[in-house]
Amino acid sequence: MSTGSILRIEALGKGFAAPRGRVEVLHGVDLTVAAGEFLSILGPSGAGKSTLLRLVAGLEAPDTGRIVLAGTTVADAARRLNLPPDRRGLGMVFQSGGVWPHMSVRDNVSFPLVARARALGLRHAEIAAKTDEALRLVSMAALAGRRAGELSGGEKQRVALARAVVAAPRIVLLDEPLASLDANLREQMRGLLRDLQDRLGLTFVQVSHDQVDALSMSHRVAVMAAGRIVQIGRPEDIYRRPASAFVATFVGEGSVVELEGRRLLLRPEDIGFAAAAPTAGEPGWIAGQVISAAYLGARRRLVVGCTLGALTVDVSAGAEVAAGQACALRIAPGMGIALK
Amino acid sequence: MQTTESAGFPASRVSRAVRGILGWRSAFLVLLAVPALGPVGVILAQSFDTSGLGEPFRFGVGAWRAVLGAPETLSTFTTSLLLTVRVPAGLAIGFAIAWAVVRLRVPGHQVFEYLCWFAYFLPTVPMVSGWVLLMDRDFGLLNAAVAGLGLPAPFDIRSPGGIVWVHLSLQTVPLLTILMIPALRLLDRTPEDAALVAGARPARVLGRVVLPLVAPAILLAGLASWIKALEAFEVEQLLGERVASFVVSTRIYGMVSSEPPRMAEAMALSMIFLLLLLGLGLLYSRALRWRGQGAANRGEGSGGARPSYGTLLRRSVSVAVGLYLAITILLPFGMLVMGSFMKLFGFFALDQVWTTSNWSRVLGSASFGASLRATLTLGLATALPGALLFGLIAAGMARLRGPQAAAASVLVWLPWAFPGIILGVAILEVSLTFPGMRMLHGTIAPLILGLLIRDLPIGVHVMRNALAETDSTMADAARISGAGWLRTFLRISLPLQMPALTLVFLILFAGAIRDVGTILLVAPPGFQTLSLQTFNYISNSQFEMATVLGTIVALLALAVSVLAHLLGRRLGSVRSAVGTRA
Repeated sequence: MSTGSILRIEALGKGFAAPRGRVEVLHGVDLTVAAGEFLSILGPSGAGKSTLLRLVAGLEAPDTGRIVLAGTTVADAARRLNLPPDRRGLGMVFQSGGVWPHMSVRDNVSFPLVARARALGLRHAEIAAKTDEALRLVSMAALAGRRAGELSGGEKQRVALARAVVAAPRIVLLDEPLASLDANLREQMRGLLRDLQDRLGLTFVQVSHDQVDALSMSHRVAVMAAGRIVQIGRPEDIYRRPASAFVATFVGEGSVVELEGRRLLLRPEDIGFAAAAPTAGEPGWIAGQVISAAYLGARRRLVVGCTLGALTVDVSAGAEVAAGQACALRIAPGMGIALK
Repeated sequence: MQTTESAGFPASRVSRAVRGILGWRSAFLVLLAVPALGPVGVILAQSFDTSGLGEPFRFGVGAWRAVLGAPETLSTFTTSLLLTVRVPAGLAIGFAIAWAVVRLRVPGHQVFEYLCWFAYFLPTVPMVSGWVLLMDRDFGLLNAAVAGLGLPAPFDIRSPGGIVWVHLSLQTVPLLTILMIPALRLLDRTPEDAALVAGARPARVLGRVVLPLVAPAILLAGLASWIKALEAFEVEQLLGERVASFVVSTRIYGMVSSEPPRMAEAMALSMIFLLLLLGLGLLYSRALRWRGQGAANRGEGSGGARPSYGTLLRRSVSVAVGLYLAITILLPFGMLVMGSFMKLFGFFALDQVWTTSNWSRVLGSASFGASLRATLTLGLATALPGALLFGLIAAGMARLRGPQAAAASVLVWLPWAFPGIILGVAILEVSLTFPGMRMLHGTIAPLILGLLIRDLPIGVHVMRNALAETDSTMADAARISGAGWLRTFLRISLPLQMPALTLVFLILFAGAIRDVGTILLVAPPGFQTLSLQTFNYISNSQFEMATVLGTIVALLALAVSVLAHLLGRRLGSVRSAVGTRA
């Protein structure tokens, strides 16, 4: 990952007219993305993350602020400048794929090269070669002649991905690219996306509301809420050192408790569990009672009531635990994340 | 640094020049305003022109005084309004048929839906002669059958009741059914199923659940139909001959076609009529937006859902709907065909009733070939550019936001309120008055212009619906891939919209070949479409010839309706394909 920035967003603001007045979706967002970086913008529905991506793409015009792409200002509200999408040199994968059903897989993928052939000085043979290469990258070469409308959801997303990277764009924008896929396909696509990003060295900016997608693939994660970026950092930092209670509870599981006058976030894995009431005087253990137990396959998730409140605890899937059972919890010293 | 540019509009040199001055959105609105407001301006100006034929404009309010002072003005408006009683009746029948087709999915529901499309595309003028053959006071077959029982003849097609019946059977009910079918299809069927599971009987489910949920769509369809009902011309002109200046549209026609023409009075009367209709048009446009905002009632629809109603109910309703449609659509159509083989129209007591000489006379005449060519020429010359133009307008409107989008929506819907006869008068005035337009006089260009303006609302509406239902990311993906607006339109949007474009083409084509009101006053000498020729034959009581031509136009309409129905089904139903008649 290079250290030079390829995308700079400054004080970006955007609102939309609504039946009952105007709704401000983005409030002065600042963001810098380094060349070759995989950045995920994570947030709940309505946080403004898709709007942010559409502004970068040129599909919307900002009300305030500016966007600088590879050193060129592509949008500047003060100057009423908003370069159209076709002149920004980007690639994009949409949640629904946006794959054109009336075209073949090959025509879909070669489209960005054909559209930019003159600007890039490409000839037929080069377009064909680059298209073949992109299809091979996503393992879709065998289906190149098939109509895109006949593909499955996962295949469409592969085509969309090949189309997004085929012209070696400045940035590849990913708008919830895995949201419409089932669990197995999601896992496969995560690997494919990371692999492609590594091999091609392109800059990826992904929008997602799924923390696993964001944490597992990204170099950095920007958490958004109510039109603002509330924290940006490495996935580990976001998870272990959340800047606010919102980030702490939105990213990962956990219980917020008051302990020794401080507000702490306890992750399920921070809490020790014993399936029997603690013996009197045993240090570090507190008595509890299982309120609910849910089997999740690889593990069992419990909600345990104790003097600190209701805590979420993970135990092994094989543990025989039932609701109503007495138990003991242990919170090791230094565990828990202090919240402001 | 690159030039300032908004996302999403063509960057041609011409449009850049226009946008340099106005911005493309303003230029687009101005272009939309010309067909929407132009006819109103022309009519208003001409209503104050008291000069004689060939004289320069002379301002005066004499025409307004004459119109407002004439007792017929109030009576024609009253009659026009009274005749719209067919709309509430049509709403009730149309909703019942739509409910039977979509929610009950009665046996034969596809045939019933198709019959409504067939009636929608049928030419009105010749079909009138089918009803004349059945319900004429003197020789109507139904009256003769009743008289055979020793009872007085109950029907009179040339009465207000007869006119209402003709509209109701051939236009109002089919149109309203077509309008309400998509609304019912889009409605989530879960609330209905929940009511049935909760133990409600079908009548209660209909009254308490379905009707309230589709009330906005019903009201909207009723309003659209009411506007068109007020404008109706052909049926009133043909069957209202016993009452001079029967309704507003026929009175306007009477003023324009009198010798010398009373143009200023016609324009003043048109202006009053337009104000009423424009008010309704604006109400309709607002209602459309209201319905758009209330789209939360929509669900996944029930197109393929298994019906939850009992078999007996479905079969009984199927018989009732089948009978109604057979009587109101197939019977007059059959009579039209039968009339074309009668030696003397309506005379069943002759020694030799039947003949094929009407057909050989019509098909052998030189005027038939010319009329057929004129019909196809007008149909193609209107429908081909019209479909593309409306597609472009819909694509442009999709890029507008806020007040500009609202203004464009109102402008596009305004021509809905233009009666064909008034539109024809306005275009006639423009082609006679404005120097640049005079060269168009005597060509078919004014006809095409009139038909395009008349069908602007329906054409753009169908295209906008189709665009709205297309995943917007398709076009976005093309733009981000480096394609400009034009390439995106040609390579992505246009192919994806091809079924809708073809449907608009068929609607325009069918509208053009059956139209009389819009082109009656504007058609150049010697240019007579089959519908115009049929209108003239019926006006001169030459029913034998009229029925032959009418059958031919009906067969053309039949072919178009088959294609439209197939396309409609491919689109998942022709969503809110608002008709041009009521």
